[in-house]
Amino acid sequence: MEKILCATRGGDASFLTQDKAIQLALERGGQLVFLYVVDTHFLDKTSEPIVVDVEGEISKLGEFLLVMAQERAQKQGVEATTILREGQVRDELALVIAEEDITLVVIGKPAGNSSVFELSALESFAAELEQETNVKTVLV
Amino acid sequence: MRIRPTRRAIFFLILCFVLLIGLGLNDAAAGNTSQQFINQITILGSVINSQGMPIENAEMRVVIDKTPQQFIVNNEKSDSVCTDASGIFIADLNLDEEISGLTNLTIRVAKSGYKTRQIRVDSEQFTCEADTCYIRIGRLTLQRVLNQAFFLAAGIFIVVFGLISFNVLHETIATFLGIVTMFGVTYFIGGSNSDYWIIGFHKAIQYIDFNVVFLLLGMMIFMAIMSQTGVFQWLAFQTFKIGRGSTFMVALILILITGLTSSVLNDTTVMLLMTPISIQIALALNIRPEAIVIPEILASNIGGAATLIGTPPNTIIGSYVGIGFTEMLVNMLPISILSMVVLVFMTRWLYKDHYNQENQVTSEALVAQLEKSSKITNRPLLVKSLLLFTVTLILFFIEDYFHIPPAVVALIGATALLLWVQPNIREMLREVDWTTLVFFMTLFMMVGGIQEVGVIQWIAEIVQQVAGGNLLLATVLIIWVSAAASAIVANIPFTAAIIPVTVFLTTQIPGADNNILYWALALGAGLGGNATYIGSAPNIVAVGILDRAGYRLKFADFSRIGVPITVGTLLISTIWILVRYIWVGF
Repeated sequence: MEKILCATRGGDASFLTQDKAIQLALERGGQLVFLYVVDTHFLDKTSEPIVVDVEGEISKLGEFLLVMAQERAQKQGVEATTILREGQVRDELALVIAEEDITLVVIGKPAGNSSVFELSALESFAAELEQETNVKTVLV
Repeated sequence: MRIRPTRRAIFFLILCFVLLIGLGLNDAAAGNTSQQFINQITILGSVINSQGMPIENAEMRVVIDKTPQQFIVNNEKSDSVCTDASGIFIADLNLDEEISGLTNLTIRVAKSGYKTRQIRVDSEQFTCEADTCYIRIGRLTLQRVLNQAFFLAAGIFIVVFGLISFNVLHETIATFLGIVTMFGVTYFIGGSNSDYWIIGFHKAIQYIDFNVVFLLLGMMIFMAIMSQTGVFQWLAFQTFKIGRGSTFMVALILILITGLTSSVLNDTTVMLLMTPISIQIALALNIRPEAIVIPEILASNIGGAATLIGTPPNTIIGSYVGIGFTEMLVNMLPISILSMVVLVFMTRWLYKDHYNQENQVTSEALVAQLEKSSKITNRPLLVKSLLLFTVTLILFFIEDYFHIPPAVVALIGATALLLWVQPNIREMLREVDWTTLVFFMTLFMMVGGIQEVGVIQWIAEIVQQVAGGNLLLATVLIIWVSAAASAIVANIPFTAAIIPVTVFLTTQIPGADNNILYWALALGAGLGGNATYIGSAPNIVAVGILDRAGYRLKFADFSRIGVPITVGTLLISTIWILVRYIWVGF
């Protein structure tokens, strides 16, 4: 049975990616897994007092966003599971692919300002991921 | 009666004799010991710069008839005497000469980075007692010259400023790089060529404001403990429950909570805690998160500007000039309140489309998730920390009465909390953000470097010339230039560099002794950071968290909201300051 992994955040661009992943799951009759990666490296260059559990707070945010993604899938008739990880997006994607026996990876193309990657970089990343994990990776 | 010629002559002789004796007595009384031998001359004086600040280690030499003289310093002979930390010199010159032989006595005062001064002293200026004479020079002002150390120190500071402002390097690494470079130039080149001497290590240490460092340390401990309770997230969720019928009401309450908490706790930390939950609330209300988070960011900067402990620039200003918690609150709180009113009105107008849309039914799953994120996780800890925080705030209010430095108040509160809560101390010490404390220490050392070489003085003189001694012009300049700078560059190093300039201007401009220029700097540095998302640290962290939720803001997206609100708050605050301190005065 196909197992589809969709890396997601929130925002309009992620909703498009989520919808495409849900559609693929419906077409292929596969399981759908949403992944959110908690990355706090944006704080690395700030030297204001960081005395709170930032990872913890962003993890809660990530859980909320994953619940939103699950609801979207449910509304379209797909039961999705969610995974929350901490670290770098590239590394965690590869790890989850191996651990969860993923058969298809869905990554969203840059849409406006909201993507982390430029398209060429994203295509290159998708190709590298596919080569490394032997799992088909599609940009939607 | 006619006097006979012989009697006339005798009378004349007696008269001359009396006159001669009189002159001789007079000369003795005047101390004109032109025939006197003196063994020692003591020369006293002080050396200052054009700002009136004492110059330490200025060298004083004496030349008599083109012959350099030697002093007795600590029972040893020396060619020169240096001024102490107060700029004062007292020099003993051993002589064995007639005072009348002391012609062409020249005193020469020199220090690297300053124009050498020479003063000719005549023997009439001596005050003598027995065989010792004293020469009192008074205050000697040396004028700056812009030497290599000046340009190097300024260049290093600007580079570090740029590295921090444009996020090229971590702030602490950047300031480390800056101070180490200054030391490198000082010791490797300045050791043999005084024109390259920027600042020595021991002198640099003296510039660290430990009141700021320990105040931050104490408040960090409070924040670290309170943040574990979940109180901020719980407050936000209660706001959602109460104001669910009106999106604007929810936003308004969250803005006020953020502003209020930022006034007494570090504003960046408040944003780190409020932003994730605010994003969730916005999504649950089906509005774009920026409509809540950006006004919260602006509120945190405005609220933080109200008190000594709300924002690092205020802490730096207060500590440098000796302004206490209450005095700063009394002067800055009205400005913050006015600015918050402007923020609320402008937010309502700028985001009206978001706030006016009808609320869709929020899914129960999302509400449940929201509630799960917002629980009070440790009620006993919350009670203890709130109680002690209240006590600490009361101590801040009465610190002036007991002459307690704010840092001591913060340490008292933090220590009491640690004793009562007894957390795992290793974990607690890990929670304290040591990189931030080291950043402040190295920053102060760097500012000391540019102060030693005269960069601050140079800036102060330019500003003084531009302001022309006009208090109104100086006030408006400081507010708006500080605001513009804070919008673009890091406001903490900017404030640390500009506060000595402001101190100088306060001593020079008539009417500035009501501290108006300090309020102007606090206002500009605090509110100016609202204009762009790089303007201050709460902005950067909140925008970063928004990005993690998939809502990436471009520079222009933030500025479209930030700039009008900043201009609005600055305008109203400028008018308030001018009315309160210059036009009406109350």
